[in-house]
Amino acid sequence: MNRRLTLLTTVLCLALAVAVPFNAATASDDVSGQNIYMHGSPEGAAPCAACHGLQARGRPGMEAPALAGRPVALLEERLTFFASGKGNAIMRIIAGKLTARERSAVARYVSGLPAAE
Amino acid sequence: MALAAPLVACDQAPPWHDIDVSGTSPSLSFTLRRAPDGKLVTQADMRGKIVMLYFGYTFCPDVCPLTLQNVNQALTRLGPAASEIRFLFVTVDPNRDSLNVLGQYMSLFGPNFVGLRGTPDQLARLAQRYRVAYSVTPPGNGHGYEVIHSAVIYVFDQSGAAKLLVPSMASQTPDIDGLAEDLQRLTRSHPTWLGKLEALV
Ligand code: HEC
Repeated sequence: MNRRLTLLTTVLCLALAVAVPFNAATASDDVSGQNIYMHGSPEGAAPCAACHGLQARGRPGMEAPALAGRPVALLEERLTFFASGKGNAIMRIIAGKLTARERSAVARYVSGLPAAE
Repeated sequence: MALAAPLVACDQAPPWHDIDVSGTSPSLSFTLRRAPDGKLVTQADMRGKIVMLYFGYTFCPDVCPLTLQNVNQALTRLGPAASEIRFLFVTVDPNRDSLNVLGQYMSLFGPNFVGLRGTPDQLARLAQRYRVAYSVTPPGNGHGYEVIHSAVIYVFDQSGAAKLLVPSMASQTPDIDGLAEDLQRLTRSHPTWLGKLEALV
């Protein structure tokens, strides 16, 4: 009986752990850079991880460069540049859907990730 | 004249935002492995769901992520009804898209998105059934990996009958509201006998 209960709570916790990140993207007021990076923005910016890789180290054979560990200021500057409708056609669409706060949150998140050796 | 107009309107369902392919496209039929667990799934596992079928690959540098995210946007607009929809992402690049890679990729987009992988043979037959063109050229003299695939999405009703063709969700101006409305309408309507018959063909 006890073991069953533990199993049940474990399953519930797992379900919550999976559900929370998705809710946070739409429901929460404060902007999470990690959420934007992994799941995109409420306005419809595609998840950065799809192209830049789960750890922001780029993906082999794709044009999207590594972002992990690079200076926040540079990343933010690049995102603002794209958001103003300049540069790479894909990044223009994506950055254009982020607010200034979201751009700086996601820049801070990737900048804090460890760069590849 | 004033009387005639509502009569006509009653007679005809309003047009869809996407392209109506009822009765002209083959029903849902596939056998593929689901990412990441490798479970073999077929159309029977999708009964009762509205199914969106798309051919792509995770190393896709542009249209795939944009398509998935725009569909995601449309699903968000449906609210709870979105749980009745499954987006099947069939990889045309099974060499690089292992079940693991594919599973991780789909989890970026949320619970309605299912990654599917087949043998080259299964994939070729499926693509041929829906007249979807794709080609994968491994790297070789001077060029990298080249993958070409069509960007359309097929939509099937709860019985597996083909209903709509969504031309492109990765254009400059994707009709997200239109897609949301079409999907909403499908979740509310239930397949007719004719539709069920068509799904058997
Ligand atoms: C569909 C693929 C794709 C997605 C999704 C994507 N990017 Fe990019 N990103 C690219 C490509 C390709 C480039 C290279 C553009 C160029 O050559 O100018 C790039 C460049 C960048 C750069 C500039 C890097 C540099 O060295 O100049 C930044 C910063 C960036 N992306 C951040 C993001 C963030 C943040 C997200 C998520 C909100 C994101 N990207 C989502 C494909 C993508």
